[in-house]
Amino acid sequence: MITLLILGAVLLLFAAAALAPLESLSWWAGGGATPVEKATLTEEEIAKEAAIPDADFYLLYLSGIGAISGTSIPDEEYPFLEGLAKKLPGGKVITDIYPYSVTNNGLTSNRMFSGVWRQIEKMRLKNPNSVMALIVNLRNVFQLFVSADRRYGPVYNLGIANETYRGLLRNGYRPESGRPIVILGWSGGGQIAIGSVTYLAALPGPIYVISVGGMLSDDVGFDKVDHLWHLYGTADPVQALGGVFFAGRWPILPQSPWNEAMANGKIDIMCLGPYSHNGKGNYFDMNEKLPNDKRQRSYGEKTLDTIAYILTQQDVLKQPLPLSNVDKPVDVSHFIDPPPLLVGNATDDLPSAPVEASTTVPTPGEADRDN
Amino acid sequence: MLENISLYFEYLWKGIIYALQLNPSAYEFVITYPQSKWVVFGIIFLAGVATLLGQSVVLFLNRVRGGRFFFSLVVNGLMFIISYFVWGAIIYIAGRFLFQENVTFGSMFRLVGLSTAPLIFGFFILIPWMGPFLGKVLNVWSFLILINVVQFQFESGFWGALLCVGLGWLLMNLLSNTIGKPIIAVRNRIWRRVTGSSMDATAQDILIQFSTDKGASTMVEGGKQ
Repeated sequence: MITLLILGAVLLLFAAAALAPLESLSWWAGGGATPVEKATLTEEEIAKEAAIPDADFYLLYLSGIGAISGTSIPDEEYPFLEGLAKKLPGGKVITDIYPYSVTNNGLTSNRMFSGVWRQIEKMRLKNPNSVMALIVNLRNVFQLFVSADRRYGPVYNLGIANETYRGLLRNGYRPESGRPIVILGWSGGGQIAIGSVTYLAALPGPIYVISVGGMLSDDVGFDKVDHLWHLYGTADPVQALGGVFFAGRWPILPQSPWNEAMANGKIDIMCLGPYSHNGKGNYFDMNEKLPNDKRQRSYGEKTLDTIAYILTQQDVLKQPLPLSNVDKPVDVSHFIDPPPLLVGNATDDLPSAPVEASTTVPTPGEADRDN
Repeated sequence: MLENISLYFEYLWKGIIYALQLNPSAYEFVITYPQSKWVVFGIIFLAGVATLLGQSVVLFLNRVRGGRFFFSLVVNGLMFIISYFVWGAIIYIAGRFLFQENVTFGSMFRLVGLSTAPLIFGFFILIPWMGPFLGKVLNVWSFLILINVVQFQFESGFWGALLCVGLGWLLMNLLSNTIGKPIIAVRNRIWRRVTGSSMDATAQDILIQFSTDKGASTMVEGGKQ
């Protein structure tokens, strides 16, 4: 009986996984990907856009696999996003893109099972650790793999790129301005960010990706991105899975997009410290203090500082905060890759003094562009 | 009538399960009862439908939808039956040549048809990331059943069966590239007629089309309209 139940559960899981690509494929088959149609704004949106002054840069936030819609993300991320907007004066932070739907259609929006998702959202609000909340994660992790799959990725990532582009336009982005675009992808959002870059890179102006604990594949987007920074914690085994699951990230395949980007210096891998993927001491934790931090910052504050530091160094952040407030993170990109499944407390690994970056980060003008 | 249908599905279910388990009683059954060909037809048809479903990304990319989509699945099931009919004939010829055993073509075809049973799970090839790997596992499973049935039919031992299937594979390739070419052309024409598409768009093409300057500028211009 138990064997049958386990077998049934496995089959159900496999069936759910097999159905995962159908949303994006149906969207494509239905002609939904016609670029002119999808990226067209309404008159109201155009009027609104015209009234918004140019920002110095546009930062798009793509949430992790816990997101239910563009406006409903796990609670812990909200203070972080508020902090992000404060830390990046002159930049426009855009947070309403749902990266797990090619039409930016949240799970609680106009869908067949939106009622079920709404119930799950309510349960999650009451108890964030509810088992039902894991269903959201499972559904979204399948979409992450759709993005990373060479068969489906070109369609999925096109949809996300279209919606991302619409999001930029809604927030006053004008392609002719050539302003830099930064995509900040957390966890699964990291993979989807690099996937959408495949298309967004054709826009004028540089495009950068900052992956925060992202599970990255060897996406073809690495050929197109100007630069990617991967921030990780030593107690975060999830982000390391990308280097295990995707063969293109193994050193034995030097011609893969990931390995070529590494060889060309397009990727910087930066260790933040003893961060975990979830729970206490995660990348967004604005309460828990870092051990041995001179400024007694929280985990989240250091993540924000690191992002601000990267963008200042890159000359994207035009009105930076004084550098004295910003710690330089350790750059370990010359170590090829973070050790897979590295876990445990790495407090001792934290630098007592700032360490200079070991590789030269290209400025926007110097960055390679492949189009 | 209903009873017969129910009996048919019962046999079909048992045939699939026994074949998956490489159970010799299934081989015995299809050799003994010629009417078991309908059960074997059912297995091959389902395998064909499931395999195309697993690889249906090609249908979606070429924007084959609705009735044509389902018709494509059915046609693929029928094409699978024809393909395994030919495959059965080739294994029969190779086996007769190698082992001089007096077996009938019908029983050989039915046995070879049983080897498609694992492909009924071909639907799982759709699974992102691990789908292609699962597809390979299913093919290996199917190959093992094929070796097993050849061993059973010709009492040839593992290496003899392997030689027989290898020889069959060579013959199949030889035929495909010679007298089989017009047949393949007809098959492709039927396929195009059914799907209403040349079926030549791949995910890679879409990527190239939209990531070139032309595609991207269309996207940008679209946004400004």
